[in-house]
Amino acid sequence: MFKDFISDDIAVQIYPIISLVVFVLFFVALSLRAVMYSKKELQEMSSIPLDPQYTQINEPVNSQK
Amino acid sequence: MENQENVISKSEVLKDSPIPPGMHFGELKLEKFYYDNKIVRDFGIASVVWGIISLLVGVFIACELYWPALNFAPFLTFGRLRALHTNGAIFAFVGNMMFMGVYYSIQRLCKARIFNDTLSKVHFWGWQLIILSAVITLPMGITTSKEYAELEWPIDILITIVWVIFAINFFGTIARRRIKHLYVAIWFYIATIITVAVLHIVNSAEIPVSFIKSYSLYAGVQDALVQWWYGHNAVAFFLTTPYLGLMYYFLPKAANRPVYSYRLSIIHFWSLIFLYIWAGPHHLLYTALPDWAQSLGVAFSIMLIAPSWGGMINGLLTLRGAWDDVRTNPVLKFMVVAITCYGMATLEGPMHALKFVNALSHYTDWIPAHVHVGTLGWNGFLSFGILYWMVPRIFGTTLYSKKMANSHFWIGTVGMVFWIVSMYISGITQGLMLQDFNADAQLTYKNFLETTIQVKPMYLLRAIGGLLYVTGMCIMAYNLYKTIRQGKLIANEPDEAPALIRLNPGEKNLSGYEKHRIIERKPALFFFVTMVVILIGGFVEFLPVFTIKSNIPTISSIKPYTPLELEGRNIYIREGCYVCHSQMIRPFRSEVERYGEYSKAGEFIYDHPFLWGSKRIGPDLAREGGKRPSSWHYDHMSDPRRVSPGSIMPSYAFLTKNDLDETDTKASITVMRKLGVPYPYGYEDRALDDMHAQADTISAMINKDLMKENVHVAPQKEIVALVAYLQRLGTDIKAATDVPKH
Ligand code: HEC
Repeated sequence: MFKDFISDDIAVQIYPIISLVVFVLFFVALSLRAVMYSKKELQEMSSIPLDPQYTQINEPVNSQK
Repeated sequence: MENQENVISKSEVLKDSPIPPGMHFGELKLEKFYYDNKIVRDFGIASVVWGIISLLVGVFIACELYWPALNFAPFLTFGRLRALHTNGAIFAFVGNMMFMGVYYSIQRLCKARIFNDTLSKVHFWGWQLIILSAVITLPMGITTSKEYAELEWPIDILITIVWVIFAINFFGTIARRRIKHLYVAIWFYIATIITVAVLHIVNSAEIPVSFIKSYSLYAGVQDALVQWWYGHNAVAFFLTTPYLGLMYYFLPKAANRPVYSYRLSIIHFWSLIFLYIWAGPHHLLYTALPDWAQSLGVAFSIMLIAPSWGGMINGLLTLRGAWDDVRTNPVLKFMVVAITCYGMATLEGPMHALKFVNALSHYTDWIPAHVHVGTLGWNGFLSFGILYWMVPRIFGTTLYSKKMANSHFWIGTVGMVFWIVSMYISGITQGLMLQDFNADAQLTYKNFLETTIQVKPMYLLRAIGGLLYVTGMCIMAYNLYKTIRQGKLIANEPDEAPALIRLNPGEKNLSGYEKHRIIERKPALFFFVTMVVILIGGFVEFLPVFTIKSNIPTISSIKPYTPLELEGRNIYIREGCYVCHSQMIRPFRSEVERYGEYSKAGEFIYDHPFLWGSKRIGPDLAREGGKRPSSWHYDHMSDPRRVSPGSIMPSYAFLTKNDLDETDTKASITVMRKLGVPYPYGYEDRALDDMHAQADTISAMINKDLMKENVHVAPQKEIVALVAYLQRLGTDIKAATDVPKH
């Protein structure tokens, strides 16, 4: 509907495409990042609210949880 | 409750641990500290009290739509009270609840007391002061008209200060933490704190006219875009992200098991905050907003389903193997319904963003139905679950009555279903009726009022639903009160943990894998990345609309408002006419036929603020000018039901009695010129003369028409200004020779 008056504005047409590309890149990087966690780390982090004993301190001293 | 020992037994746990308390923990010494439960309690009480009040206001305004006679005093009219209800529910109920949950969980997740007790107190009382000032100013009609940002500029400043205090207290606690890793709930809190600050500051940019009046820095399309970027993200970052943080903390606590997938929660967080920011324009589909911005809003709204559902599934699967508990434990019951409602609302939202659905649903009751799945279901029920779990713990006791909590659950659920289903029916019915054409290609329901009368019974059902829901909350309040009475506040709850080792710069981490966690361990870096992520979306949306001129084609016949019309517009804002009337005709045959030529972006360049509205309880007014005689408006405003039998519009007879306040007229003109409205220099000195002359003409016209009714309206009455504004609406374009297609 509004294409008529912005169609000659290449800059504007490019915005949605840029944003999609940015998001896809972001998402891929994010997924890779999430996959890279080890099981141990994930377990350790997810148990923080449950108050296991200080497993999250610098060294996983006591990671029975 | 099953994991009662979590409450006070840290030292007990320590006794059983391989390292005795007070002894060295490896090379680390255990430190003793105390959690502040008092501030948690205070926010909790405030939330419940304000929550009940806000929802009662909601029930009252729902009743007003069924019994318009309830609008019997200016400060009780629907237009003014609606903002009180929304602000109360969002900032007073959910806001206080969020602070309660954050203060409770951040201390435990960081193993540290809140940074500074004085700041906590200032935060608490500052926030209550903000709410109190809303309770006073909104019914007085002191408002900016921007939805969920109605509070005027002095209160905006107060909000900013209190928010910064909250941020200092929050980040200060993080800085003192004894746990290195920031748990995912904290990420959601951080995103909330940053984004709400950005949203609030950008959307509240305004120039004061007086202590209680300001005009938005932006106009028309730009103002609309900023407002809905704000409005949408207020939902996202005030009602959703903090509550997701609460979910990720309190659900594992209540179910006594870790979240189903931490990996999923990481993806949930980052994609959610990335995508949410872009979706705002879906509130402005088919409006005069440029097409590309609309498409962007749609695309990102659809993509939002993925992270939202990821979060919901993560929540529900956390309870795998615990479903037997869910059946018996009211805490988990509330939480399950809350998470399910989160899923429903986040599926429905993107559906509304599809243009063909939006064409029907926008401006109708379908939208409040959608919103209330979120607020009543997600926010409300999660809050209740948290309260039932937490209050007994900080008071060192058990819940007074599980049976009562179960009754609350059922009454609340039934109330919610009533509310939502009635509004689905009403919204879809009215939407379909308004776009219906008969066999002769004529609008089937030419008079808007016919559709109103059709859906009116649904308004009564909604009020009943709301009343049931509040009843449930009162039961909860009583139950919690009794719980509090039987226990004693553990104001300073003891805990112990080893201090965090801080690595010197350059020093290698002990284990290699820890390097991956660099972002989550460094709050400052985390803050920065989050900020960048949310700003990208904002910039891509705004830059083109603010910088490229061709996005708002000008129409030469569009002129600034006359001083009288400007004052009329101020009254329109004060009375909240925009909560029932839109001023934005979409390019549909049904709308053009009903209301007139569809709205163009260039028509709104002098509208500080824009008044497009978001809901049509009454007809659109964008082309009201010249449609009816001024005397009709006089009669209609004095008593809508005399002119339109069955109307649910409040009566504004008081406008025919009040004198127009002229103190700020000159200042208004000056401020408008500062904002770019082309009033000639020095015009403010002539403004009053022009205003009086126009008022004389209009009042004379009304008096002539209504002579036989013995009406005599003096030119200085408020109604005259309002009629001047209504008669101006949408008329400029008729004189135009250069009307663009958009
Ligand atoms: C509770 C919602 C509500 C509020 C608030 C409200 N109205 Fe209305 N209004 C309606 C409804 C419903 C109608 C349609 C029935 C009728 O004509 O009264 C209507 C009709 C109108 C009409 C007639 C439109 C036409 O040409 O048919 C005008 C003008 C109007 N309203 C102006 C106002 C103004 C100005 C205010 C604020 C001072 C206001 N309304 C506040 C609900 C509302």
